[in-house]
Amino acid sequence: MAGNESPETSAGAEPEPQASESRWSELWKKEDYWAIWLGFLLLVVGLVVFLGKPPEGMEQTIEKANVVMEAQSQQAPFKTVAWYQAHDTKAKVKSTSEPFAKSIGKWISKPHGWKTDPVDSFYLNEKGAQGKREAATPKYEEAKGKTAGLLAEAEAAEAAAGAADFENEGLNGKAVEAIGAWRTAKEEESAAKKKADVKPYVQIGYLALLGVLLAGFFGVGVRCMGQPMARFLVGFSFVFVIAVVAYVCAGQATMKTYGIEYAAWAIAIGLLISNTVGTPKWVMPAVQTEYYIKTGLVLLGAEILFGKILTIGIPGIFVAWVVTPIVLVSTYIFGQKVLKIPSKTLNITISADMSVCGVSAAIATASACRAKKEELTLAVGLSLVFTSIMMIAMPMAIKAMGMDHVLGGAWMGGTIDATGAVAAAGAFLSDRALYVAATIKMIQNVLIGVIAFCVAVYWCAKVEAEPSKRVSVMEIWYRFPKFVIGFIVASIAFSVIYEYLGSDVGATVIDNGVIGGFTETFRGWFFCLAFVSIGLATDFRELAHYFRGGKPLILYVCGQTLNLALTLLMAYIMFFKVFPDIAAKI
Amino acid sequence: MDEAATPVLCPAARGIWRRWAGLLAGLATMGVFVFVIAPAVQHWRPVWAVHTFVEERGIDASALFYTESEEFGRVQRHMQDAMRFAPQPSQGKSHHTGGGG
Repeated sequence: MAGNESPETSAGAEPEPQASESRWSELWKKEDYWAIWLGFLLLVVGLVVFLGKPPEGMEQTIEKANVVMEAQSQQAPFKTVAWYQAHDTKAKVKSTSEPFAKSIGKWISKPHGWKTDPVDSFYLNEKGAQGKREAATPKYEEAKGKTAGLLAEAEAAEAAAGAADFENEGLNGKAVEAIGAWRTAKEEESAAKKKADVKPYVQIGYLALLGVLLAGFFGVGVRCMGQPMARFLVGFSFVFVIAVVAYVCAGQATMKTYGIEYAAWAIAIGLLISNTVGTPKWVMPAVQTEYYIKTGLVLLGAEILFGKILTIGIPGIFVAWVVTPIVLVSTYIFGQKVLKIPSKTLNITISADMSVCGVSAAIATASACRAKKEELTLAVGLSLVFTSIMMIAMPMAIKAMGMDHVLGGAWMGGTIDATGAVAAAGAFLSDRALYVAATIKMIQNVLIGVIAFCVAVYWCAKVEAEPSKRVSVMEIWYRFPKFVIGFIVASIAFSVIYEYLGSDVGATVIDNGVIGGFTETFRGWFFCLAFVSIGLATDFRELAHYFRGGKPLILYVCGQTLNLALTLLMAYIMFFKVFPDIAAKI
Repeated sequence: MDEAATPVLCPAARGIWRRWAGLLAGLATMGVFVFVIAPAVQHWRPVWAVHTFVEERGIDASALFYTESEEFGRVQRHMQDAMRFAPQPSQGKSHHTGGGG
C-alpha cells in the first residue's frame, strides 16, 4: 500500500527494528507514531472545541423530551404522536447546528454534490441557488401539506384508540398504521425541505486553504521523519487536487445512488494517471499511502464506540458479533485450505471486506496485516461491484418473498458490505427495516476495532513468525503496527467519554459534534489522499497478477453465500424465536 | 505519395502521444460511464425504483462508515429512544409499537 515502494513490499514496509535497535527516537521518526500524534491532535482539538461549547439549553431540552416519552410509553401500547414529537425535538439538538460548527464545516468540507454541472461542486451563485429553490419548493410544499394531513389522521386514530382505553386491538393497529404513514411522510418532507433550502456558496477558496493546511499538517511529520519537506509540499498539491476530483466524481447524483464512493474514484483516477502518462517524479514524495491511511485510522478509532453494540440488545450482538467473526475466519480458512490463495494478506483483506463492512474494514485489516496496495485495491473493487448488486437485489428479494421487515433489515444489515448501501436498501424497504439494518451495520462497524487488533496480533505472532519458533511478547511488540495502538486508544477513550456523557448528550456533542462536525471529515480527506496515492503507485499489470485464476472472486462469492445463509438463520432465531419482544419494540 | 514528405514521429514521441491518448481515452470512458451508461442502467425497472427512492430521500449510498450517513444518525437516536422508552404492551393491547413501515 505504500505509494513509493516496489510492488513486492508490503503496506507497512518499514524495516522491522530488532529489540536492540528500538529507540525513543522512533516516537518522532516513524510514521506509525506520527499517525498517532497527528490523529490525537485533531481529536483533542475537536473535544476542546465541541465539548467546550454545547448547544444552549441542551440538557433542559433533552430532559423535557425524555419526560414526555417516558409518560407516553406508560400511557399507550405503541409510540404515540407526542412520543415522536418529543423524540424529534430532542434529535434536533446538535452541536453541528451551532454557528461555530457551521463555520468549521465550511473550512474543511468536501466539494458539494452536483447533478449535471460539475462546477456546482465548487460554486453556486445566488441566481443558481434561487433556481434550485424554485424548482424544489413545489414538491416541498406538497410534501408539507401531505404530512400535515397525515398528522391530523394519526392524531384522530390515536384519539380513537385512546377513547377505548387502548384496549381495542383493531383501533390500536389503525393508530400504529396512521402514525407510521405520518412518519414516512415526514421523512419525505424533510428530504424535500433540504432540496428547497439551497444557499449560494463558493467552496473553491476554502478547498485551496484546506489543501495548504493539510500540506503543512503532514509536512511537519515528513520533515521530522527526515524527508525533504519542500519536495513533499510540491507533490502534495497534485495529490490533493486528485483527491478533490475524486470527491467531485463521487458527489455526482447518479454515482451517489449507485454507492460508488470516493475511494473507488480516487483509485481509478490515480490508476489512470500512473498507467498512462505516468505519475510525475515530483509527485512521488507526497505519495505517502501509509502515512495518510494510518492517520485516518487513528481518527476512525474515535468513531468506534463500544457502547453502541448494545443499541438493539442481544440479538444485534449475535447477528453482528457472532456471525461476522465466524464468516471471517471460515472464509479465510477456505481461501487457504481449499482455494490455496498464495497471499494470506489478500485472503484476510477480502474476507474482512466481505464479512464486516466493506471498504472501511478492508482499510483497517489491510493496514493491520501490512497487505500490499494492490490487494487492498482488489478488495475495494470487489466490494463495490457486489454492493451495487446487493443494494438492489436484496430489498427486491425480501419484498418478493414477503419476508418480515425486521428479519429482512437484519439480513441486509449483516450482509451488504457498504454502510451507505445498507441505509439505502433498508430505507427502500421500510422504516422498520432501515432501523434494524442500520443498527446491525453500525454494530458491525464497531467490530472493525477488534478485528484490526486481532489480525495485527495474529500476523505478528503467527503469520510473520518463523515456523516452529516460539515468538516472545517483546518480539510481538516490536513487530506490532504501532498505529493500531493509537486506533484502539482513541476508540476506548471516546467510548468512555461517550458513556460518561450519556447517550443523549453523547449523541449531541460527540456523534453530532466532535465526530460529525470535525474528525469524520478529516478522516475522509485522509483516506481519499491514501487511495489517490494507491492509484498513483499501482501498476495495472500487478493488479491482474493478483486476480489470476479468479480466486479472489470465488473467495468473495463463497464467503458471501455463507454470510447470507448464516446471517438469515441467526436473525430469524434471535428476532423471532429467542427475543421476539425486541422486534416488537422497533 | 512521397514517403519522405510524411512527418514521422520518433518512437519516443509516439510513446508520449500514446500515453496521453490513453489518459484521454480513460477520462472519456469515465465520462461515458457517469453520463451515459449509469443513467441508462437506472432506467431498468428494478434499479430505477431503488435509485429514484434513494435520490428523492437524499440518502448517500456511498457512505463508507456509519458516522458519514445522516440516516444512521437518525436511526441511532430512534433506536436509543425506542429501547429506552418502549411502550409497555399489556394483555389485549396491540403488541406492535409502531415506527413506520
